[in-house]
Amino acid sequence: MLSRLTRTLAIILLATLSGPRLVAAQDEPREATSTVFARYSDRILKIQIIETSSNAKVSIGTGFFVSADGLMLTNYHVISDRVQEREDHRVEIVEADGSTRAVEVVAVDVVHDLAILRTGRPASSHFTLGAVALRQGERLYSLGHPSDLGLSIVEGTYNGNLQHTLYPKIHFTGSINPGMSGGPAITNAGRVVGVNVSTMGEQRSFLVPETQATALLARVQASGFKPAADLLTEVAAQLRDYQQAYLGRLFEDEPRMVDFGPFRVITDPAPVFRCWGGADRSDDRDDEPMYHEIWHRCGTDDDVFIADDQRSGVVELVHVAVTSARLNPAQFGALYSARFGFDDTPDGDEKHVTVWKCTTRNVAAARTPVRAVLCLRGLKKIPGLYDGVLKVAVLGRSNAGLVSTLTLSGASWENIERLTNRYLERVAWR
Amino acid sequence: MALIVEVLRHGRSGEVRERMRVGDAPLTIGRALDNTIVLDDPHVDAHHARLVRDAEGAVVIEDLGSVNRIETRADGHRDRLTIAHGVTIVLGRTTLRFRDEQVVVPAAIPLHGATVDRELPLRWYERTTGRVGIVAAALALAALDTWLAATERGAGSAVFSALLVGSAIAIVWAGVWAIAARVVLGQFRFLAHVAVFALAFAAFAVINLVDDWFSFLFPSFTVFAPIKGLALVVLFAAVIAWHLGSATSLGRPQRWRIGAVAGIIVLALLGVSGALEDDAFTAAAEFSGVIKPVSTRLVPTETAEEFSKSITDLRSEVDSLLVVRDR
Repeated sequence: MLSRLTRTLAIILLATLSGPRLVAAQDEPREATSTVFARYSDRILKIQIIETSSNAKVSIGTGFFVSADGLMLTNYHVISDRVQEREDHRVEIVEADGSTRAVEVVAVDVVHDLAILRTGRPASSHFTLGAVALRQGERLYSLGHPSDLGLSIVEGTYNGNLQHTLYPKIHFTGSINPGMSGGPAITNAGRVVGVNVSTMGEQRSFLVPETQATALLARVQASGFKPAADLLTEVAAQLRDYQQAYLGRLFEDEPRMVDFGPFRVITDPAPVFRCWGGADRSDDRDDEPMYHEIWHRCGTDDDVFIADDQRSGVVELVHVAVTSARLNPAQFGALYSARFGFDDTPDGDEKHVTVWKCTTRNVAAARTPVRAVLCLRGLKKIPGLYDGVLKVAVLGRSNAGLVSTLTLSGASWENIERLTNRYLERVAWR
Repeated sequence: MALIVEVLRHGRSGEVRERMRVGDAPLTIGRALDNTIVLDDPHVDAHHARLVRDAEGAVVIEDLGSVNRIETRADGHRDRLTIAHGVTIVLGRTTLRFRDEQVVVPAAIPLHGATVDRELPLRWYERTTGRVGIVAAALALAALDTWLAATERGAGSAVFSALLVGSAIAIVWAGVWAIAARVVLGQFRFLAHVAVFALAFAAFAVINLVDDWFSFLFPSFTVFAPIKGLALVVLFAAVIAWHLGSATSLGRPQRWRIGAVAGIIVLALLGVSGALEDDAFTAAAEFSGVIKPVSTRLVPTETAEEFSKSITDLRSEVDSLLVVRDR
C-alpha cells in the first residue's frame, strides 16, 4: 500500500542524457512570439557542465545575462556538480557561434535554487531585473534549451504564486522541459518575471520569482563583494539557516490531530503541508476481508535541491493503520511486523550520506507504549545536517496497529531530536 | 610353512578382496584351473608364474614367459623376485600381496558407540517409529509456523506449498547423505538422515522464535544477534555430526570434531564475506521490525527521557562515521 502513496514532487529541469520523446504539434507561432524571440534570444545562452576527465558534458541548462559586465543568472541545480565536486567539473557557456568559454560561479542561493556566473565577457544586451506587476492569466514567454535541442521559446500563462509553499514559487502554465532550467520567463516587453526551475509535467511548471534573483544580484553587485572561497561552505550555511526557519517551529504549538481508525494522529502540522489519504482492504471478496489498511500522508513541496540524490527540507508524515477481525494474534503480529519492518527510508548516494544507523526501543511514550525506531545518517558535505527517519508502532493490541513515520531530510540534530520527542508525545489511541 | 596370498581390491590400496592360505612352494599361479592359485583375470596367462624355494630356502616367484609379465610397484617388470612378508606384485590387472602368517596384528578398536551392526538395544530415535515421529513433528511445526505467518487469504495453500518445498529439500539433502552412507557403510539409512534434517529444522525454528521474542522484548540488547549466529553454527556442527553418525562408523568424538571443523569453516567463510561486504555502501536501514501482539504489561519499556538519551548516542555513532571520512 505504501508504494501506492502518490508523490507529487516536481521534476527539476536539468537535462541529462535521454532519448527523444513525442512532442505535441504546435500552432503556427504568433507574430508576437517570434518578435519576442528575435528581440531577446541573444541574451540567453546554453550552459554545460563538463566532467573534466572525460571532457564531455554531463548535463546542460540555460542562463541569461543580467548585467552589462557579463553576470549571468541560472539555477543552482544547473551548476551544483561544480559546487559539490569542484575538481571534477567545470562550467562552460556556449556562445551563439558554438564556441565555449569556461565561467566561474560567484554566488549561489541554494534555497531558492539560483546561482550567478561571471562570464568574463561584456554582454551586448542584457535583461534588467526589477519588479513587474502582473495579473493572473497574463501571457509569458519562457526561453531555454530543452533537451539540448537548441534555444526555444514557449508560451504560457502567469498563474500567480503557489499558495502552500514556504518560499514563493510562480505557477507558470506552460510546457517547460529539462534543459530549460535557468532560462528566463519574460513578458513581451522583455521584463523578467522569474527563472525556469521545475515542472510537474502537463504544462504545470514553476518559476523562481524575479525578487529572489534581484536580491542575489544585488548582493553580487554590492561594493566590496567577494565570491566565497568555498561555495560549498556557503551552501551549507544557507541550508542550516533554511532548515531552522523551516523546522524550528514545527510541532511547537499544539498540532492538529485527526481520528484515524482507532487512533489519533497528527495532521497538517503547518500551512505548507498538504495531506492525502486512502483506505484499502486486503482483498475484495464480499465477506469481511482479512484486514483493513488506511493511510494518511502529509508532505510539502518545499524540498531544496542539494545534489542529484540529496534533498533538504523534506518533511513527511505517513500514518498507516491496520485492523483485522479475521487474523489470529500471531498472524496479526506477522502482518504488523511486516508493515513496521518495511524499510521506506530515503535512498541516498555514498558521495553525500553515511549509512543509516538505527536505534530501536520499546518506549513508554506519553499516551501509549510504542515501539520506536530512529534511523539517522549524516550529510557528508553539509556539516551539521542529518537525515532522520522516526518510525513508531503502537503496542498492545492483537487486532489493531498504527505505524507512523516521520521523515526529515537535511535537518539539524537539534531539530531531529526535538521533533522526535514531540512526535512521540502525540501518538495516541482514540 | 604355509603362504598367505591376498588379492587386493583394484584401485584401493590395502583393501583385501580375498585372502588365501595356500600350501608351501612350489606352486603355480595362472588363469587355467589346474593352477594352485587361479586368477580370473583376462590379462593373466593360463600359466603365468610359479613360486619355488631357492637354494637358501627363500620363496621366489618366477615368470613363466607370460604376456604381461610380473610387475612390481618399486622395480617395474621382473622375471624373478624374492617373496617376503608384505611384497606386492601385479599380474595382469590383479594385485597380489604376500603375508607371513606369523605377523602380529594390532589390538581391536573399540566401537565408541558406533551403531553399525551393533547388537545393543536401539534408543527411541534410532527406531523407525521414533524417526517417523520426529519427521511428523517437524512437518507439524512447519505447517504451524507457516500458518501463523499467513496474513492473506489462502493460508492452506501457503502451508501446503511450504510443506512441499520443505519436503523436497529434505529429500534431496537426506538423499545425498544416504548415498554417502551406502558407499561407506553399504547401507542407505535414508529415514535416519531425513530425521536429522527434520530435527535440524525444528531446532532452527525454535532458535528463530526465541530470537524474535528477545529482539521484540529487549531491542537494546545487541548481544542477541551474535548469540543467534553462534547457535546456528553449533546447530550446523551438530547436524554434520548426526549425519556422520548414520553414514559412517566414526566414533562420537571424531564425528563432533568433524562437525566442529565444518562449523568453523562456515563461520570463517561468513566472516570473510562479511568483512569484504563491510566496505560496501548501502542506503538500506537495518532495524528490528518485530512486533508481538501481547499485552503491554509484558513488554519492558524505557521512559521517553531514556529514549532521548539513547538517540543521543545514535548521533555520536553517526558523527564518528563523518569524522572517519574527514581524515
